[in-house]
Amino acid sequence: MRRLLVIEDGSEYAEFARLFLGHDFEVVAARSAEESLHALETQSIDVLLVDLRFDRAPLEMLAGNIEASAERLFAGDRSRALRHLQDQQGVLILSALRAAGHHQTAVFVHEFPARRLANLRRLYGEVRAVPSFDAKALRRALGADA
Amino acid sequence: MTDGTRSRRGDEAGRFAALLLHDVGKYIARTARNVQGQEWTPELSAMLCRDLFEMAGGRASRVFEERAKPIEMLIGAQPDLEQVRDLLSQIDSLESAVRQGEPDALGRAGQLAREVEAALRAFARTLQEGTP
Repeated sequence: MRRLLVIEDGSEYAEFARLFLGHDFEVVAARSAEESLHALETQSIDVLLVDLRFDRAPLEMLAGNIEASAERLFAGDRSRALRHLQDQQGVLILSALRAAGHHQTAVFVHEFPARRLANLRRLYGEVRAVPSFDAKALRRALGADA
Repeated sequence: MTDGTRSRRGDEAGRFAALLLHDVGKYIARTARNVQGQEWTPELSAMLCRDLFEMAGGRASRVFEERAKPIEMLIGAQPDLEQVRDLLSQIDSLESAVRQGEPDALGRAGQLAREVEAALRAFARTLQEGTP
């Protein structure tokens, strides 16, 4: 059976995947970039399902540097930088995984504007997005029939 | 109010609407949109209860109020949000029956959850295209 790595700060995605995608995938869960890298380095993972927004993760578990983001993007405003890291955490984790050489298809449950999705593909290769928790659409995006 | 201020408020409201769609619209229909015309097993019923009444941050109606407040402060009362408020109050009124696993209540709550998602998605798109 193919193995799906679910990356999120809660348990909603993994619960959904086990219940609605469990016939197609063995589900493995990770809560941070570090845990995701560990999973990818110790198990054979076929595809990634990634949450975008991590507003429940402890600060020390977030990928990205608040101080550097504040200086570079928000004129030193640390609170806006933190919000940015939380809002875009899934993409930051994906960036870290790609940098470490893991190029599995990544699927987000999010309605990205077309230009944003095209940009993500340019930066990170095979990236797909499904706007809602639609099991049929997610099965297709995750390549369950492949 | 200047055009620039109106535009900034519209952009900011659009960002909050996207957050509202993510935090309420997406999660409230997580189970409901995949159980149409099927039997509500205990596992599915329990997951629906979590979507409606035990989201991260509390029941969906409470999370909605928290996320909708900054939008209404920026651009005033919105009929679309009032509609969602009404749908959520209907869901809350079904809580006892949903938790007891009554099939009619589960089906009705699922339908209402799908309507909430659709309404919030349409609202977020409207704000992205320009403040109403």
